[in-house]
Amino acid sequence: MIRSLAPLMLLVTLLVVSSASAQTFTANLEVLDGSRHELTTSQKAQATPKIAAKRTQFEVKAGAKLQIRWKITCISKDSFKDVLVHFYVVPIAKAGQSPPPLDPKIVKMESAQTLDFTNGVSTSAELGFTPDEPGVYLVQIEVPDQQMSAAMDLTVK
Amino acid sequence: MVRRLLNWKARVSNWTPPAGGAVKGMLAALFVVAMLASSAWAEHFDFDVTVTSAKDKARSSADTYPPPQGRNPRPVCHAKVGEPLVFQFFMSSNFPHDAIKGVTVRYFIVPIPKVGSPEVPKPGDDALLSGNFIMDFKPDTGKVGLRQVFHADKPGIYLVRVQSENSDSDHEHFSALDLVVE
Repeated sequence: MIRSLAPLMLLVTLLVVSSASAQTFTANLEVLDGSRHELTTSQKAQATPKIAAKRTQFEVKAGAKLQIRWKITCISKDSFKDVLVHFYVVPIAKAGQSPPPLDPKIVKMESAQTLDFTNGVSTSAELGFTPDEPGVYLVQIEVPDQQMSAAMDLTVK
Repeated sequence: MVRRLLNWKARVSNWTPPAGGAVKGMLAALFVVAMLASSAWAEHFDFDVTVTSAKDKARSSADTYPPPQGRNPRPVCHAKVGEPLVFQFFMSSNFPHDAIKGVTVRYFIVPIPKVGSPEVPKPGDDALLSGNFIMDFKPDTGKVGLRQVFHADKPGIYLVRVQSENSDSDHEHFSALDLVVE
């Protein structure tokens, strides 16, 4: 029995090790509404996701003065030069929808940074955002070169 | 600049590999343009700050503090209450020697008594916008840009300011303009 399961266990072990070693950056994303807050962490993104990943949800009232905090940290032993760190808030039709094209006419907020990373180096931000219109907004921080992102659906009532 | 930004945004939105390289190229071009457009040469950081309303646009470049209000007169943007406004800034290092680590890049839009007012209020509950980034800058790769839509509910004069903090220097850098909302 054990002998027959051995190849399967080896495969699972290899997959886990492979997945862990592929992670080069981590991201934390937090949205705060006064004393309420919601936190999510990074996941390895698919270049062309077939199924929209289930995202953390947070509900606020229109006009709420929100604080959005995020932090990107390099956990790889390798060095990375000129890495793009990209953040945005964009309206979407419904929770869980894939990121839409970032038409500047609809994007509420967007930032981009380029900087060098080595192990332990991080960058962070704390950004004020007041959603005036009801709807669902995708809040996403990503490192496109590493296909890494952390995202949250913000529902504004 | 706006057209270039839109192009940049379009590229960012389709970031399936290897789009990142194209984005970085566009960012580099943006900062070269911002640097050339800057009328005042900054020692450590270059800035390009704009506020755009339906009928007006103001742009400011780098200044230094102290004194808190800097040395250059501030450009003025005029807007109407409630109309959508776009705040945008780019900041990069032109310090040629070393990395400047853990720099805070703070931005805010706060009420002030009059156009050109010398005081620099701290951003509080009355701020239209505020936020900060913390990051390392190197001569070639430390760059940050933000674009955000906002509006003013009340008429008044507002200071729009982006500034460096904790840059391990005897002076800091900023860029500022005034927003007049009627």
